[in-house]
Amino acid sequence: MRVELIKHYTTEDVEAEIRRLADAHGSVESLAQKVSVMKCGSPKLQDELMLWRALAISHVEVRSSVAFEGSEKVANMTPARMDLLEVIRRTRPQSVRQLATSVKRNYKNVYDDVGALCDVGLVELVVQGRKSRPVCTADEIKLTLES
Amino acid sequence: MVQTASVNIQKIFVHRDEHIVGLEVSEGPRVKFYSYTYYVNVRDAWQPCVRWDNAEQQPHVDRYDENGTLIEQQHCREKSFKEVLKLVKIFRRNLAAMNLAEL
Repeated sequence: MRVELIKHYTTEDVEAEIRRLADAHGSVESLAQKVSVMKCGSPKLQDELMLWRALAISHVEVRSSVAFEGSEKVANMTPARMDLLEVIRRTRPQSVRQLATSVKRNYKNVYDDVGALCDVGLVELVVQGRKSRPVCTADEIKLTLES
Repeated sequence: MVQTASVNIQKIFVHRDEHIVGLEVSEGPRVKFYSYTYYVNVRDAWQPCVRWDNAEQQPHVDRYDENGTLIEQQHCREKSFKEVLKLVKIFRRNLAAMNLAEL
């Protein structure tokens, strides 16, 4: 069994990725220089260079996915957690407390469920000051039974 | 003419301590660049173990030591993500000691 979490990048996502690459490496040229010096010494840098060059193309579609082999991850996806995931995606809460209030559930239980969704990679907690904003990382979940 | 491209970034955990990261950049139906890197978790750090890619249109396979240092590069035929996933699932960490060009 394979569980696949899929995200299709929006224009904002592409811009955010380009900003992240620029913050990390300065410019495409400086990254290309680093990669040519290291040859194939750093797979991550080489991939980031190819990604950056592709993102610079005017019409680019980006699909990102994280998949897990085995059924162990599915066990964590309870109906309550999947409902929570939909609420996070739909309402974009500013904090876990706001999320708990909107679903009228106990804060600690919601916090635990958000933690479980983070473990699976479905949610990321973005720290903003003293608050942690839950953000949904996938817009599609695909479950494949292998034959 | 408008230039279009698609990027497919894939990460598959084949085990808790092993995953493959795939990057494919396509122009139309043609995959212009691919890289498939098999990472293993060594002392709480993800280190590349084997990587197949076609940088500069030269399909090749790279082998890394347990510190993530490149130790060998060999020419090999073009690979798809499906083929790499199959190889990794069969051989896993043993890939580090195999003749990769012949796979």
